[in-house]
Amino acid sequence: MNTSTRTEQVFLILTALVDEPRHGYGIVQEVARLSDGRTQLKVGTLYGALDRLTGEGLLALDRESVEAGRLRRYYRLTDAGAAALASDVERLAGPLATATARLRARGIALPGLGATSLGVTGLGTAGGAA
Amino acid sequence: VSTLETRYRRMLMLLPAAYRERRGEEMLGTLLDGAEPGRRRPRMDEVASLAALAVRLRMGAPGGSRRSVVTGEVARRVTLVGLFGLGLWFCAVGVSGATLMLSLPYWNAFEVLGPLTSGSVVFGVCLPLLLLGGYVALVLGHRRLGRSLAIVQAPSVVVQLLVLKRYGVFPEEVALITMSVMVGAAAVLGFHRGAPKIPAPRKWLTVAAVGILVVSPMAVLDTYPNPFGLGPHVAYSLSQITFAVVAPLLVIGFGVLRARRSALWPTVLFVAGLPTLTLLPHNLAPFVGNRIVNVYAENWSSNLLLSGLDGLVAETVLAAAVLWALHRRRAAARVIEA
Repeated sequence: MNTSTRTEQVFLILTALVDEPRHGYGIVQEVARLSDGRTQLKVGTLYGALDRLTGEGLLALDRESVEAGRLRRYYRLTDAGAAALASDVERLAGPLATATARLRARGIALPGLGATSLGVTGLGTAGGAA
Repeated sequence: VSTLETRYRRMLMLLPAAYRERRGEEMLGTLLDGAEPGRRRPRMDEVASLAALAVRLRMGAPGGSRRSVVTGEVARRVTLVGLFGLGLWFCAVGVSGATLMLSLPYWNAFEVLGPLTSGSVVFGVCLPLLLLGGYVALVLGHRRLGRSLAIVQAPSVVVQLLVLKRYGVFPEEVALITMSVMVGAAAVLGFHRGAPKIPAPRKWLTVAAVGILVVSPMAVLDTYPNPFGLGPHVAYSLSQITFAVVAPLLVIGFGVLRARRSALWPTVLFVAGLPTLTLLPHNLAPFVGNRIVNVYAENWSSNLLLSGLDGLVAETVLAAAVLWALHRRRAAARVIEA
């Protein structure tokens, strides 16, 4: 799957696994947290994506355990997965920074976006050029 | 075991057995983890999501069986072959209508083309674009656009053939409607989120271009009374032989040739050709009643097409090719085992 066809849900799943391996419900919770509750992964979507991403080598099974009588499989981001996510972030960062800078230049406040969190400070010239 | 767990287990039965064996317990845990306390039955969106996954897995999505991969491939190719076939048909209808319009005086054209209301003229132009546009989009990997066009064409064809007509529905139109609905369904099933891209897109595009270049002049020959200095009888026979004999022979030949490698292509062509069998009951009735002899004998190629006999012959040969290919594969597997 190339970068342009990766959906927002897949982007969020990859992001959810950057810091630590998580099991299915852990991924659902983390994706909801990352998206401020806007994305609620359904089980069909989640496991369809896990199958696909595992098949592409972007995720790998980390470990299995039985907790409270329930089987849990933990998935981790592989190096290839991290590289794919980094590529997505780079692709998105440019237009995002430009849009943010232009909106701020127009006087529209974006209180939810910290300047440094987007790297907007470093990309300030993009806004200047615009 | 709670009621909810029992119901989740029942819901998981939608999944293919092998997948359920591998993933079922894990998915059950995820579902139970996410359930609010006190809930007794699965939510509708959970059922819908799982049902969609079950369909995708049976159509070759990652995680599905080897057989499901083949099923998905058949569905995708049936979609493309159907879009191509329908696209060429409506392209021929459009070219034919335009030829007729240009070859007649204005008032006469208006009289002859009375059934072509303004709405159907719009559809006559739009349908080939819709069908061939969907084909090109899917071949080039624009899955969402292509699938949308492949779905939208079905109601468009139905509207064109059923609603915007002054006269009754002809048998060949039943076949076209059946095919368009089948193509829409195949697109939904085959071009799912996890579907692979179509290999060798240039070949598919070349075939489409050649098809349009061959069919368009034939449509002109079929319509215009004296094209390129040919007599009307010669022109009409030439076009009818192309549509009724050459095209089915090409399909049969391709299917049989490909059957030497695998059963995939003959299966695709067999499934895509099934709608032509809807022509049989209606058009064979005169034969059965022994009422029409001379008319059929006089214009055999045309009536071969309309009677659906060529479709029956093609389907029979393709079915035999599928069986032959499967037999060859089993024989080869036995040799390897031995």
